[in-house]
Amino acid sequence: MRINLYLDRATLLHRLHPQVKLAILAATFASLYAIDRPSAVAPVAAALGALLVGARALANVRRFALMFVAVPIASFIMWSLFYGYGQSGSAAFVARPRHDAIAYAAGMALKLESFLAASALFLSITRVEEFTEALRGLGMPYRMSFTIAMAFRLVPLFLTSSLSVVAAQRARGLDFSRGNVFARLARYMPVIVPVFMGALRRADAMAMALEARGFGRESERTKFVRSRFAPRDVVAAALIVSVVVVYVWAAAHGYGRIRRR
Amino acid sequence: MLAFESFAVAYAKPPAQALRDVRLRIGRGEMVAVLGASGAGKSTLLKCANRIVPALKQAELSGALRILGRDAKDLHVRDLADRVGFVFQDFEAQLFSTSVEEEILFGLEQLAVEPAQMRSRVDGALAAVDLVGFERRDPSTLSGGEKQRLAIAAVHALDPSLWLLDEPSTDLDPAGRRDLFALMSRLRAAGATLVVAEHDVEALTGADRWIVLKEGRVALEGIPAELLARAEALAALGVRPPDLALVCERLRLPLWPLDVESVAERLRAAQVRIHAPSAPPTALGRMESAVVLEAKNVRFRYEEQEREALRGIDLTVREGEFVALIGANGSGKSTLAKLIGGLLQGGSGTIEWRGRPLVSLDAGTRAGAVGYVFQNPDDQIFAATVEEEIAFGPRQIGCAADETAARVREVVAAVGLAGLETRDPFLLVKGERQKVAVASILALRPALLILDEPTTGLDYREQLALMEVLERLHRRGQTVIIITHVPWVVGRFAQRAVLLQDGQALYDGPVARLFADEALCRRADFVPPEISRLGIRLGVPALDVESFLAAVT
Repeated sequence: MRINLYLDRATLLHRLHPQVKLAILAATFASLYAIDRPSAVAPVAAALGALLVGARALANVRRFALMFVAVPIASFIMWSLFYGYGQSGSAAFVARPRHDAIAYAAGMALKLESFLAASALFLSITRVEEFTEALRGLGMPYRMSFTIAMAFRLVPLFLTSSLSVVAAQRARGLDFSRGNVFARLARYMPVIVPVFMGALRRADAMAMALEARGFGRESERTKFVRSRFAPRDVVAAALIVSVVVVYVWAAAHGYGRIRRR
Repeated sequence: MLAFESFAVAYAKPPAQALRDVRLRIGRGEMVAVLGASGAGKSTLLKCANRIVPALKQAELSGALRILGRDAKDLHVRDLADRVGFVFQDFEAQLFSTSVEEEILFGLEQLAVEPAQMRSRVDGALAAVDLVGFERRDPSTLSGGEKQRLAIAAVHALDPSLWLLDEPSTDLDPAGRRDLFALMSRLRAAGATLVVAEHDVEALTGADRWIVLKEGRVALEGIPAELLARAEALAALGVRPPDLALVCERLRLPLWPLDVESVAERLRAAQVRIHAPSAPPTALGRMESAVVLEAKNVRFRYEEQEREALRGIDLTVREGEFVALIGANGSGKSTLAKLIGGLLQGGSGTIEWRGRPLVSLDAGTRAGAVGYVFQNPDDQIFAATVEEEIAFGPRQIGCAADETAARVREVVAAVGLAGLETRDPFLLVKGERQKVAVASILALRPALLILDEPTTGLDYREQLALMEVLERLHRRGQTVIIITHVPWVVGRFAQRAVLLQDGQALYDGPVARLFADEALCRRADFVPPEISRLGIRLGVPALDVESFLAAVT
């Protein structure tokens, strides 16, 4: 089974400098942080959709299809029910759905979808080694950069190991669907313990393997291929900065927000 | 290259004396096999030789150790990276990069090798392990054997003079294992010094020296020909003596050279008498018993995979059978077993349990129908005591307290865990943890027990103990399917073999008939046990040493 989320494709997005790739991810979060009107979030969401197509990364969207569908739907339902609760002075437990509650819920759903899309895009076009290089370029110490990049690489591995443990416990009759929410949570204990122990063992083994191959021995490492900024990176960076400036300015002036302060 | 003088290692957590009074010298260009039961100290010995112990695993060291002529106290594991290469058993944990090429570059970049030199070192390492053309492949998509070869390539690029290989073949299928040992021979021919901790001694008869550890001490040391003459002593130390050595020892024939053709020649020259029918048994026992499971035209494809994992498999299992599901990695064994076990859903075709579709059974009925023991016992162990661990399953299916206690008592006795009921399962050795996993499933009283590579990572004594548990259960009527790569386990314990290749059943019938068909085995990259191959040359249909010896005098 494929563990890495990186997809080896020859697209323009894959050829971008690692720091520009990281900037796309950061820009998505920075632009949408204070924005909640669906019409304002939609252009970013659409742009990310186009970038995913351009990067030929839809395979990773399909891989996490459940997350791409369930997270925005759950968010939409929750916000359309609870938006405004505790602020309108209503004593009702559930605030009545109103026009702005629906709009806010739609905005939040789109925002979460955009964050997921930006993360999927970043991991699809960025190798672990480039991620480390990008963080190093921002001045982060090498060991910390490598550890953060490795953590991303290990997430799918962790998920795979969790699925294996779930299957092993199901084979012993464990039924996750019985009982109330607390009983169900308690039933995850036979999954959490083996997954946690397995992760500790793996971390231990990986640390030994890294040290045995000289990890961090030299204060200055060499690089077989060092990424260099190309004109396309300058254009991409300019576009990213423009989008962030426009969105931050709009948010600061109350545009793109449902309630002005 | 290595000199241990009165060397001892004691771990603090959990407290254990791993090595005691080790006196050992390993010279340049030697190939030394380190053998012994699990927990004998093999891995600790190797990890001390590149300073993983004590750098990453706290331990009290005493005595003296010199590595490449220098006092080990002055060395740190990362200082040795370009002189002492280490290959681990777990190939997943030693690959961290996005592509094969990046994996090899990792160490070179860490050691600040000039970029101009890197191309030739990467190409040389890939050529050495026969992975040229794989440069851009994602390591996680390689087979087990390819992953282990990549791990070796990553070490090869650093050009170490001393190689330490810690049970590198344990998780490999026969083809992966064969390629790995061929690669080790090439490294040796190129002048490398190799120290290999292993359970598979058949592949190491060509080593210069064997060292057998017992409870941290060197119990036996010598050239393989000498130690093979002491087959019983090896078995007592947890080392499975090669079939051919046992035959030569019992028939008082010269031991060397120890390959199938040479031993067959010596037996012919000694004019041994054969008094057994030369035709292998062609019928299976228990053909009259009831069909419990019937799979017809089963096809299955995993998401994201273009190829089907199963391409129209038919399988009928009768009550009381002992079936071995064999084939190379990726041939579809686990997929088929998981579908039968109800752990995978989807695909096409039908799977029926006693005439009813398996998917229509409720959870309780299914738990009593098929039990599935996963390869890694650590995927399921979570409880504080062995007793609690085994009781978990019966409680899940609604057994009352007294019924649960009765089941726990019954399976503890059946698998030989008596006396360990109140022990913490995490602190047991792997063989015992595997027994806990088997007992946990047996407590559900499944009519069909499926075990996925149950002997992986166990030493010979542990393998034998576990397989004898299964044999006892089978004699009492338990239907068993095991997935395994271990030829002697198939020959000695299974009646029927189902050989898969590329998602199709290449063979389904008596084990003896499969072992007799060398061309078919070759096609499926399956290597029958040496004793069967010897038997074919002499016209004796043998599945294990005892049946061979019973047929010749």
